Amino acid sequence: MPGSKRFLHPEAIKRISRLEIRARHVVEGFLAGMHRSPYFGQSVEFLQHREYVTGDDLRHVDWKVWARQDRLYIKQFEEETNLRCNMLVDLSKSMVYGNGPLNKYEYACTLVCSLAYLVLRQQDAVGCMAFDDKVRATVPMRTTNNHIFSIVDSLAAAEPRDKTDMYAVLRTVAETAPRRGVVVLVSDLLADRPGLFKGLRLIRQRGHDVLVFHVMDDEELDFPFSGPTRFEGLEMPDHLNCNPRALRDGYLAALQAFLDEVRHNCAKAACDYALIRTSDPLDAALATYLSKRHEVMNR
Amino acid sequence: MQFIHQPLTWAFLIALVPLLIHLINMMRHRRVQWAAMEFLLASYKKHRKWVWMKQLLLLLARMAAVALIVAMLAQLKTRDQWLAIFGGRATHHYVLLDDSYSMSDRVAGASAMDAAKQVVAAIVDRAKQEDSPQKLTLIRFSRAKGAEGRSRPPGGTSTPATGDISTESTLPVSASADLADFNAEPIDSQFDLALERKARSFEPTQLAIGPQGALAVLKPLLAGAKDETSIVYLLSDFRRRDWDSPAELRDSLQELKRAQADVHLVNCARASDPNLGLVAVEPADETRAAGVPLFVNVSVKNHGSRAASKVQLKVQSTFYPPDDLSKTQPDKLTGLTEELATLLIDTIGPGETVSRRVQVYFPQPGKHVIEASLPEDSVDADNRRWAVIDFPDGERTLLIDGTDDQLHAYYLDVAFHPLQRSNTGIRPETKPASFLRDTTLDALSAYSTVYLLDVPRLDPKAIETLEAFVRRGGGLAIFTGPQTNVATYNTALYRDGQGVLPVPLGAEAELPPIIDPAEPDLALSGHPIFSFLLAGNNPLVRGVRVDRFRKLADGWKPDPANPVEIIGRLRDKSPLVVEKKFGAGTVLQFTTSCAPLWNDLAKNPSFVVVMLKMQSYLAKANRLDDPRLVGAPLDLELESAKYRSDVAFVVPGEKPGSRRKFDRQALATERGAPEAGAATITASLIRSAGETNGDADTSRRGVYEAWPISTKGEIDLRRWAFNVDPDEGDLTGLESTDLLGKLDPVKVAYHQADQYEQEEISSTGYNLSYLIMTLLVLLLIGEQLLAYSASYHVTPGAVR
Repeated sequence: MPGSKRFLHPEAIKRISRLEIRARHVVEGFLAGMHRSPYFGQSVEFLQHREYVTGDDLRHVDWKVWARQDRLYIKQFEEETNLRCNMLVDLSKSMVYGNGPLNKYEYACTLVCSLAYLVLRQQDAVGCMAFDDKVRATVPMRTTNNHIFSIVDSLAAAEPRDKTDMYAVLRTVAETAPRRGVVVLVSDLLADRPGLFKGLRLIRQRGHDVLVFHVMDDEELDFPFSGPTRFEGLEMPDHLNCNPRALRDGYLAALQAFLDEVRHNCAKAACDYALIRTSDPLDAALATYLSKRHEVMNR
Repeated sequence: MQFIHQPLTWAFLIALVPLLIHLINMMRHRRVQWAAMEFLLASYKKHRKWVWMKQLLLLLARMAAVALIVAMLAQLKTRDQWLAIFGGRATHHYVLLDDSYSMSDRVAGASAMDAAKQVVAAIVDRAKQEDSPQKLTLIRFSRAKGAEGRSRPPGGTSTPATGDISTESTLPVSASADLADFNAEPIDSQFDLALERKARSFEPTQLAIGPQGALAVLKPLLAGAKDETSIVYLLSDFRRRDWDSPAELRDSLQELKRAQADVHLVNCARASDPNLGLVAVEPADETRAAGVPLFVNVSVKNHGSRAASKVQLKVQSTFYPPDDLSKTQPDKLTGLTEELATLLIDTIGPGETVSRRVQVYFPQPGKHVIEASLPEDSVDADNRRWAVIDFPDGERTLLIDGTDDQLHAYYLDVAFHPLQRSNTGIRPETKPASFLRDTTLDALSAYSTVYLLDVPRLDPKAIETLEAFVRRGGGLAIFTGPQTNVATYNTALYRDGQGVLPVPLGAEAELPPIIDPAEPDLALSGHPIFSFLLAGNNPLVRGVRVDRFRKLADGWKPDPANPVEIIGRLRDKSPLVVEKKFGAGTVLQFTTSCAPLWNDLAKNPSFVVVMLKMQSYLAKANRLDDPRLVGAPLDLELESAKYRSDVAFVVPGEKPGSRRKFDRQALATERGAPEAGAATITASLIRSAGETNGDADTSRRGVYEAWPISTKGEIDLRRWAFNVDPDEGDLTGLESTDLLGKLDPVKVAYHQADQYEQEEISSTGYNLSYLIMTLLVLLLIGEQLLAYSASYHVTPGAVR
């Protein structure tokens, strides 16, 4: 493992208690691992000259052109904030599951904060919403560096509970975000699937680009249990006494069917989908995001 | 169906442990708060039935595996599964129990008989656990004693001729059943008590008996037992004495095998200490009379494999004063016991017999007792031995002298009374030849010996009486002389070898003159009469001169049909003394005279000794001590005209020195009159079958008495010594391989008593352990496959 990646591993991140430091740690580790950052400084890149009109800010006057041609021209740059990123974090009770270094919710929070930090470092605007069956916490879009603290505080204050109602939340997002941007959904997607897919399609219809980070715990994906076990539902009242190994094959088959369905419908709705294990390093999620941002900027 | 280790059957409860674990696991499952319940429930809904079925099968397989392990450890066996299915065939256990005295051999306080009793208890215990009906028949050797010699009585109870057992010479079934201590007793819950009660009386007897009698009793029982599984147990010590040449036993066992009986030999003996035994207490073969000292030889044999040292041998005599008889009750009579000697034998090598001589002396006539005893050892029965010796007032001897001057009788009378004060115990009476003609056999029987001294001829009636006398055991010495009528002797007394005269006489002859003065006239053999003369080259005999003698008849040759032995010859090899056995008696014929007419023998000092020896030798048959072995019958035959029919028998009691009296009535003897023609009655200590005997038998060693009373009211006390068979004390056993080899091809099972229980069980049924083990392996393989199928196996890395 390269030295920089060492800082992206959940076990390393687990040792950092404060979320904002954790986020900065992740992003700096991520960036330090890249040979060249093609995205850094994009927001101050020169676009064209325009003849000065009254009212323009004198700081944008290109004095070198005035000295050469004795005419006032103003330098125009690309827009500083041309990407609006809305982070949606699943706050349902199923997100508390996890026996690794981080549970799903902690992993999701770390991921969201890391992305937010990265977004802010690139002068983009970032907002955040935590939800279960409705939106529980909202952090508006900002580009200021201090904005990360608002996101961190918001997520730290939230506590997972209740079930998820994806459609309702996604519809709310679609209605409250007038400008197009990138919507990042971080969830285990253990919810009403037709509602989920319908919600994603709705957001896409509003012109948003959608990144779905599907966070699953290793145990949920591998089902490594043995011995007599009583499984009690986190979001449903059911329980089951069983020998897990006898049901493992059936469980994995049902899970695979679910993942296939999610992947298929995401693709169908033109949403980017990434399945992330809570044991995976966070760079995969960051790379997925930056790749998506590049596409958006080049459109 | 049964188990060898019955207590282990409780372990079948362990088969419930898997069920218990399952139930506990259901109670103690781990709790997991689970997010993806949706998929889990879907899987459960889909596989629920299979999962349940697999779990149930797995549980049953595990319970069955535990049960099979227990069954294997407890050693499940069944005798015959088919029979068990159809109601069970009865099993009959026949136990033949050796109670000869070698079974009293004690090792560490426990005798071989104790071990045998434990084996019987083990057989009963085992039989009680069987599913099918069980019966037990127990026969002791002592009860079956002599059965092998008995044949079926004519018209007796018929014996079913079944199987291959020959019924030609077997006992009736009813008679065999009477001899059994237990006869086909069903083994039930009450049987233990009955066995325990009966077993208290199972003690080693003092008999020396082999298994043949018991096997003979068993045969009709086996033949009569149909539709039974027969198992025969022979509980003995298997001494070399009985089993070294077991041809008859092998045949008997072969018959048992042919009758489909399982035969088990159970050796109850253990390696024991060397056993010393008294093998003989015998009076020397000399004239016996009150007031005449007598030597008694006592022999001790070492039956062990190591030498015995410093052996103390005690000898004591018991003298019964004649006056006590009329004053004392038979069972109260006690003689005067005197300790004669305590002899110390330094060493007796293994297998060696050592004899010691003790002199005894009884001042008054009677049947007196000599007892020898050894210190206590592993077998007590052969450590004491008795001899009853009849000391008469004197030995009456009849001298018939054919000469007018009675010269022959004179010399012989002098020889029997060599000194005025000496007592040889011989009471000579000189009679003329006519005495023999006029006397009766009974009157003549009062004499121990008859001497014919140059008698010219004998009346035919005299010859008849004389021959009858000799046939009954009397001794006869015939001295020839000048008056002997050779023709009459050869015709009437020799009768071509059928008469009492050993060899036919011929003409007078003179011994040729001496050429070598050193050569004696007599050439004597090692006969008991002359043996003392030969010892140490006795000079007396060399001084004897013989001038004349009678040759044997011309042409006489020894006839194997009438054997005679020439025990002394003259210098020219002519016979001098010829011996012939005639009936129970002995005849000695001298071819020369008794008085110094044809020789100077009577003037030689050795004459006295030779005559005394000859008298002792000739009277030997009349001195039979009648020694008996324990278990022998005790019958007393009496002349009905002389004795009353009531006879008291006195037998040794259980405690040392005690006596018990039994009154018996003498019955007419079945075979009628003996030779004399007088009617006789017989009194028997042991009553016939069907009557109560009590302890009235001869199974205990010691001195037995009969007190017949004459019609005149006089007590004619008879006394016998009953001793154990000394050979039974030889405890040398046979190795199992030797024994089985000698019994080959008869296939029998051999057990040691202390290891019997387990061996017996494994051999009386079909042990299913191997089958169970195979089933268990298959079941465990199936269980593993089932467990794998039910996903109970951990896949590395996939589970936690």
